[in-house]
Amino acid sequence: MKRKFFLLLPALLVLICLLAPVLAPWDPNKADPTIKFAKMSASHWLGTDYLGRDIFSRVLWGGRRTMGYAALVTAASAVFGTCLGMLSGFTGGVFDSVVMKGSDILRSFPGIVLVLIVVSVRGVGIGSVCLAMLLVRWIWYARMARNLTRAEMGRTAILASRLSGSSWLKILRRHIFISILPEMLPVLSLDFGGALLAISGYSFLGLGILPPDAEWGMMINDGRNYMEHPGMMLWPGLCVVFIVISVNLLGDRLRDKLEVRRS
Amino acid sequence: MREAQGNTLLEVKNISKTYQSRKRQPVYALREVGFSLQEGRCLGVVGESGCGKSTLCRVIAGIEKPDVGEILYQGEPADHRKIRSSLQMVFQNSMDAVNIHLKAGKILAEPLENFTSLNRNQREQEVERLLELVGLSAEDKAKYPRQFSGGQLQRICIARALAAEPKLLLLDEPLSSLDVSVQAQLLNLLSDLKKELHLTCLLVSHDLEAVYYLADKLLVMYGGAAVEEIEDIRDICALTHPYTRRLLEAGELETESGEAGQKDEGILTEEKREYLAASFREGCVYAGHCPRAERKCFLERPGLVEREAGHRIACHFG
Ligand SMILES: Nc1ncnc2c1ncn2[C@@H]1O[C@H](COP(=O)(O)OP(=O)(O)O)[C@@H](O)[C@H]1O
Ligand code: SF4
Ligand SMILES: [Mg+2]
Repeated sequence: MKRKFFLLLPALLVLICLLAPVLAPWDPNKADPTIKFAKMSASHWLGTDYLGRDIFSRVLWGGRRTMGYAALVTAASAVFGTCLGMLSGFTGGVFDSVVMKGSDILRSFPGIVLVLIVVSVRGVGIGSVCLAMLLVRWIWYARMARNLTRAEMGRTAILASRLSGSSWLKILRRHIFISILPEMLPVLSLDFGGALLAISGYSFLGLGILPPDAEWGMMINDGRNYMEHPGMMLWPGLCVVFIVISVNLLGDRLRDKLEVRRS
Repeated sequence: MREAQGNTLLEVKNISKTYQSRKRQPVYALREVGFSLQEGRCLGVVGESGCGKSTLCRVIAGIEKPDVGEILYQGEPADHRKIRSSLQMVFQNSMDAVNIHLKAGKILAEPLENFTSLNRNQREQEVERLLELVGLSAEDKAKYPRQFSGGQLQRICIARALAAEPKLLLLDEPLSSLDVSVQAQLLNLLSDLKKELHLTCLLVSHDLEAVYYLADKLLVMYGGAAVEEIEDIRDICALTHPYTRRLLEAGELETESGEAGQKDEGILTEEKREYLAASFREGCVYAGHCPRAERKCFLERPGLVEREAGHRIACHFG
């Protein structure tokens, strides 16, 4: 029961953030200098920021953006990396070594350097940040999918499937993908947390989402200048920490389940 | 000779297969192995772990290509893409031979999807029929592999092989990872199925008793080579090759299940591999362990020659 609760709460937060357009009581970008730094009240549940914008509405909209882009990057890198990794492990040989060497080289770039390069080419913006993140994030999936695929290929089940007349595509789909999926899920969950932190971090640095749009990392950065009004930093900060811890816990639980199933 | 007049279904001609060991030494898994198998008969293949029995099955099934040699199926060079469904194989370790994430029904449906034009409902019925054919119940199709015992899962593997309606069934130690009592049940099942479906079989086993029960003829392998062959397994006592004599006296070959890994290590040390490599070029494969080995044995390799009708042996003195 307690464990379910641990998943229910973050799920609820995700849900209300997704429903921000419906649920947010105020326009998140509407400034009203007459009420700046308002305290928590019935109309502004979490108060207002230095421009008099409703913090609650901005937290919801910010979450929608932060988590949305994190999910997008994670999903895209997972799909691309897994497909490439499976193909690489499956074909082996030259293709495999090229993919693995290429990913090694890309992996040796620190993420921030890639972001700076992409930003200097394409300009500041969330698109550049996502692109730079995609460039390296697929590697993790590709390596894992590749190694799991190689292990799976050694099983007699694959020979049996060939004898049953299945095409390579069918073997990849029906046997290899299904077998490696449970091993990939914890990674997916952990990686989502990482992507979320990165998006917030780059926006915090002013490289990602641009003002006036709300984003958790950027809201924290805004709050830094007004330490005497901790609400501006507190709420988005709590949300980031809460979501990251939750997905990490989820990842660990998925991993534990996997261990149990293996033994 | 029993039923020897049947048509020759499978002819294996001098196939050799060499692997590379981790230290880049050649491993001669098969050396010029040849035999023929008539329709409806069952060939038993015995030999210690690592002597190339599984490789022989894989090559015949077309999962692996021999380096040299030829496989004739119904008198023609086997094109495995065309005869895929006619040659099916049952593997030693049933747990490794199925996808543990799929239900039994789905496992059995795979060959049906590929080899037949049955629709979903018909496949469902066929799956149930197959389950009952191998002594399981139709409801078992909803179970996952982990919910079956080893014997039951091996029955499912047999059913999967039969789903393709094969003519030739290759059984690669189908019993060796099972309890003795379960072995007996499966042996009975195989014997019934063989009669009922007019199967031609190749049974690999380390258990001479099992082979004697199911097989009509016998091939003894050592170090990748066929060392002795008899057409009628009832003449088993007439076998004279020194290695076969050792097997017969021991009653049973070294078991392969369970401690297979260790056994492999023990039997195929690097030294032994080198020795095997050397003897491939020169002497008899068994010379290193043969109590009757003489100088000639190390210099000259005996071919498999007919000693009497229906009895071939590869030994200078046997
Ligand atoms: N894929 C492979 N790569 C390298 N060596 C192999 C491979 N498959 C089999 N061998 C070697 O070939 C020999 C014969 O193996 P195998 O046919 O499995 O023997 P058996 O089934 O009689 O135990 C063994 O020495 C084994 O180590
Ligand atoms: S040929 Fe020589 S070494 Fe080989 S089995 Fe016969 S007696 Fe033994
Ligand atoms: Mg074997």
